[in-house]
Amino acid sequence: MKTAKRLVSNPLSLMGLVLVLLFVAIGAAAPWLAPPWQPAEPYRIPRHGFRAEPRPPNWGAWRTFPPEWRQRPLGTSEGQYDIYYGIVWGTRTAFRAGLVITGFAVVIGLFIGSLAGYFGGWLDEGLMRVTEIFMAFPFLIAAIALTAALGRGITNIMVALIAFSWPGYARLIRGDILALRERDYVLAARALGAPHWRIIFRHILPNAIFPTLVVASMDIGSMVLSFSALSFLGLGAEVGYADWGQMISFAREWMLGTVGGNPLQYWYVVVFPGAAILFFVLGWNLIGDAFRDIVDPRLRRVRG
Amino acid sequence: MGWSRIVSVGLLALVLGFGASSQVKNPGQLIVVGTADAISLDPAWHYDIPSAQIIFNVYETLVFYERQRVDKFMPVLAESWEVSSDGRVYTFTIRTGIKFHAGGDLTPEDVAYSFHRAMIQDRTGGPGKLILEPLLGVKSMKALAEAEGDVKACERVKAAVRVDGNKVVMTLAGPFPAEPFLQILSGTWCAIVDKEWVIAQGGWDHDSATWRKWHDPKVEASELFDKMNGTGPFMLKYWKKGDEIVLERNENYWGEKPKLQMGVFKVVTEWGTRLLMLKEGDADFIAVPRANISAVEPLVGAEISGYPINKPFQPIVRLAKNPEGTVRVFKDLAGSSMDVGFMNFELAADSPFVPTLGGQPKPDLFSDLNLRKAFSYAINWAVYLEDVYLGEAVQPRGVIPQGVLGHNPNQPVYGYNKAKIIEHLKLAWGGEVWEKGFNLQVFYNTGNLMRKAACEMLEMYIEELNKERPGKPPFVIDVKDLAWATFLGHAVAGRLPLWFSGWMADYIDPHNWAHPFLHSAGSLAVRINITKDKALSAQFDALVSKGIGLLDPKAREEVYFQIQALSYEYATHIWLVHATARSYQRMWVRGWYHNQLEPGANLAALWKASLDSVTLGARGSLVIYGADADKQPAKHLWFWIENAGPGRVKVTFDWAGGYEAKDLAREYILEPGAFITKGGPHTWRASKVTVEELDGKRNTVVMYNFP
Amino acid sequence: MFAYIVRRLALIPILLVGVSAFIFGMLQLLSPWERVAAYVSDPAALREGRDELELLIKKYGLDQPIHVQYLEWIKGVFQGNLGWSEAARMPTLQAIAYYLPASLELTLWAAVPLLVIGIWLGVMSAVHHNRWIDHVTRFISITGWSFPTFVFGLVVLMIFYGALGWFPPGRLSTWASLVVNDPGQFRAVTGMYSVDALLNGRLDIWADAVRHLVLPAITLAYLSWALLVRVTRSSMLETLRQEYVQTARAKGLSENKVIHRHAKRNALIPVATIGGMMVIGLLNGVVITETIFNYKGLGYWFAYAARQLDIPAVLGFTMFNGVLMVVGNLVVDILYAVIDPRVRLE
Repeated sequence: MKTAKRLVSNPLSLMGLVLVLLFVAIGAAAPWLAPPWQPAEPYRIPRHGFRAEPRPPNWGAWRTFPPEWRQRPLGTSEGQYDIYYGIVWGTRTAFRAGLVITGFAVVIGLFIGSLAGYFGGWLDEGLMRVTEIFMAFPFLIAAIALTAALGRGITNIMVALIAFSWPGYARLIRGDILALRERDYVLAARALGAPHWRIIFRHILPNAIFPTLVVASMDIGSMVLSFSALSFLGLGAEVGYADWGQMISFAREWMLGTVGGNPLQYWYVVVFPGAAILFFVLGWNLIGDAFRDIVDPRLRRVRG
Repeated sequence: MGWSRIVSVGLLALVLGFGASSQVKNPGQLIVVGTADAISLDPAWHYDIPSAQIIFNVYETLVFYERQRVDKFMPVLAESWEVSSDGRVYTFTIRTGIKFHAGGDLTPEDVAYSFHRAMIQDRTGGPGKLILEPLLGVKSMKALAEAEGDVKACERVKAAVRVDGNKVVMTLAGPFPAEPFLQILSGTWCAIVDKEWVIAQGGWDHDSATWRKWHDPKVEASELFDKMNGTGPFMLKYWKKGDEIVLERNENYWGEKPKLQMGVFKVVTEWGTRLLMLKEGDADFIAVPRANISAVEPLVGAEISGYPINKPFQPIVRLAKNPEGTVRVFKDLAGSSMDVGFMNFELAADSPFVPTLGGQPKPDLFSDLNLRKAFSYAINWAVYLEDVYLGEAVQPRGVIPQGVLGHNPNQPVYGYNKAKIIEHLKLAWGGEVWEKGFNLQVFYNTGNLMRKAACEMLEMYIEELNKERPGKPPFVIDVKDLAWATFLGHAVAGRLPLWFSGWMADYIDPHNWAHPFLHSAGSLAVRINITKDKALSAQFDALVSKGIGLLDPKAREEVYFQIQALSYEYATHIWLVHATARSYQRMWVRGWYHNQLEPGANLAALWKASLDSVTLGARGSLVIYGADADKQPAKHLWFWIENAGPGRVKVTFDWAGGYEAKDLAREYILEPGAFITKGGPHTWRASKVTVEELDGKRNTVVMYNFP
Repeated sequence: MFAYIVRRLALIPILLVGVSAFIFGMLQLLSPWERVAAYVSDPAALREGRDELELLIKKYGLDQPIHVQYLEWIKGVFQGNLGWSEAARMPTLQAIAYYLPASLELTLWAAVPLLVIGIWLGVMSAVHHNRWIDHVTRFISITGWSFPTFVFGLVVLMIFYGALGWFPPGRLSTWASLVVNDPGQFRAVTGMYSVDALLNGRLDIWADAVRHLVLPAITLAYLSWALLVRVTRSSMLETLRQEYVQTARAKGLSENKVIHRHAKRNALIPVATIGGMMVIGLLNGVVITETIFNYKGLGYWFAYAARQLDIPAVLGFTMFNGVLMVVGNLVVDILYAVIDPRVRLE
């Protein structure tokens, strides 16, 4: 409760909260904001024809709200993919990526970390060597390498990011459990003959999990960033999937406008999806930042 | 031979005082900027355009095309050649006194060795089969060795191309038309290497017992991977991998000395950078993606279309926009590839993509003629060609593309027709399709957005019919992409129900098209299991065999007309698109021509010169404008008549319109590369320009005038 | 300390084996039919389709069981052979050496301003705590942290190249690259053009190289810069609250002296760690930066290789980075121990 109050009272974190809630609203209202043309495949961005050259926003479409995507409210990208539609449905992709990646990474990290921390000994030693190996590689490079091996696609990017992000959580939880393991109530539970899983789940995890969750919440933003970076590099879904990173990669061929004409002619191709990613990540980072100050000023980020 | 051709340029208005001329940047260097690096510089190994355009300028072949003509050949390393009366034996007399760049002499042994090496190397997916097929009648060296044993196989290779004094004799395995055979010999894979030098680099020792060691190498294992030693007008200076390849002039070249000193082939994947390089004059040629042509528009000063295919002498007339533009673009150049929609008559039993009809699996869905017809009517070519290819492509009239014998411009084709789609869907499978609906996946290879658009079009036009049949189970079409190797894997195994894919010809002969697509043994026909319709397949087999057996072109043409009519009647394929190409170049590039079988810029034919350095008469500044007599001519007007060579031409102006240009002579003799141009405010009009060739050589004359 | 170093270095082989085995294992999820794509530039070249694809799969050993392929690869690694990179058209190890100078040059050009400006701003921000400079710095740094490199890079490219034409992408202009690659005119020493140009006394080449370096260096630095400012700021804030600083103040030393003599030195100890890590981390960032600016270095090659399924290159480069990280971390640890006597390595 106190935490929530402080989040709201700090202008920066309030801004973050507002941004994230705004995206939650966009994601939730996607079917209303941009009704899918193919109800079975809402993530396929509709096209306004097959030409490559982007077309500018039609501001007139904003006279009604929500705007009708058929009128190109934010213009079209390379290949006539509708930018407005892509951003609206891309919000869901971003949330999915951020939550799934951190969620899985935390679960795996919790599992490995508590095994190592609770049982200690050779199990601890072995598991920690494994995490060390995974952490020894530059995160983005390792994730790209794994995506390349798995084959391109959104699921594969997520798998790759999970594979190289769980060790941070595992370490964190292990450290906290090591501290808790010798506490009186744990020792008491053990003396009473409670099974290990019960001790872990009832006594240790509830007390150890909180810092991990804080760190995880701070990571959502940077996970979405890494996710869209991989997608931008061309390792994501096939062209036309509602995904911000890919929408920005559409912009690459149009950055110079027309030679001798207006060099900023196609600004909308990069600005709208770029702003979407920026504000989404900014929102999470502002919240995470405030969280850190509030909950535990000594918490360091897991990764640089 | 003194024939002439009258070109009507409409009314030509003469205008004076055109002053703009730009200094040529890097006059001795030609800079070609593309998107991909060469893969291997070994003539026997490479089979890609970026490698071929390097090999093409460094090595030479026995014979080669006469500029843009793909049906006329001139001797190069062969001084002359003879063909036996049955067309099976070719005897080449090898030129003497030619040296390789590294100093070795060209001998008939080198020629024979080059062919033997190309055949025994025969790497998987390489060009070896192009040589093996006509000479030995086999598709691969492996197959030959399996049938006859290693040593015997190599002996046969050596017997097919053997040295006889100063001659090299090639014996074909069976009948093979002369033109395609000479086209194969003109290809970069038939480049002549220096035997001793290759052996010194660790190459095959020419022993029949040891060839296996040099057979099917990985790219890095071939001894010529990044070394070159040819006889051509240019030599390899360096290859900075991933970045650029630089060739420099061979000062000891045996033929006519090239005008350029250096050719630079750069790799720039970023489109914007290429564009700026062209604008700044740092690039003379750039690769322009079809999607981005509008971005180059402001630079274009000359737009030339209607480049002839196999026409001996034809001025090219054009209209253009920006008189200050520094870039010239040739449009509608003949290409040699075609994209096609394949409908599988019956899917292989192990297919994971079986379509359903009324919920039941139906592997032979497309064996129904009406269904194939309905799909053939569901591509809107007008929209497709305009949007996806920006109008620069044609709908094929059937299996034989434009520019190839047997192409029938009058063959009817399918086109978008909603009523017909409905009509045929109602008839398909005895009405079952219309009543029960179907579920079908259509495929393209990941990243090929042009094929994706075709899939989406089918989806759109067919699924929208669900509105017309309420209450019935819907037609469902899913557009799917597969990474190309998987795509190809499934396609060749006959597992895909409907997919779009392409075919490219190595040499120009209708058999190279009809056989793979429609003969029951054709590599593409087996993918759609065409033999499911036995009667139809038998008809195609008979016609295709007849077509290759005939010698008379007229009779052959008739057979190919029949094949295409039959294919239309049975809607065997969706003949999607035959794309044309463009070439963007700085206007100071001279001597360019287009030959669809050549891999790229022919450095020996090109040079650079500014507008006023190669001109005629007093500064040669003459510009003509084609305006209607009644219309007000625009301010900046100019015309251009350029002789792209190789011979001289005479240009005569005929002032029949009653106006005369006082500073323009009636007649000009243009040396190769010379041109007449003039620009400024209008003063005079002319009506006709006549161009005549003087040296009996086949010239290309480029003419354009524009407001 | 010696034992510590040995232990860290001993990690390298374990690391190489561990992660390469992991990626190799994952590779098994891709069928040989998909992996063979790396060896064919153009599917249209495969005229016979199935037979040729199967032959290719055999030729490159893609149909062998994964452990056989893996043993083959690891055997090569220990012989210093990381396999052939199709994307680079040369052996992977050679490709790393070939592309390294470019990336190193870019990293140096990014690191120097990054450290100087980053630390200065961080100190300023802490000293003027809660004043306007602090607010602005904090806001910029947090935005920077959220700004995707590829969006930032494209936007600066659009403005400074597309609209203004000041800073072109690539590494050199065509004329300069013809000079640089001609051994007769230019002696390559380091492979870093901005350095070699000075050694050769070619100021024109130097200017051209720098013109190409500006935008990617800024883009590369921008992200890490945000983090560096934050760390410096909080470390400085913490130090300023320490007793000895307060004592120094009480002694009547000038504020300037307090900050620069006493506080800054101690505050910079954690910054040194982060800074060192960050320079290594920059190599991580080159993947996207180089791709955007068409700057042909390690990152450009790696991204291209990943798209082309060039597995030897992908593995090789990842391993290279793993080793770099371990060694880099070790160096930072040692430095840390040297700077801060309270730290002992064990």
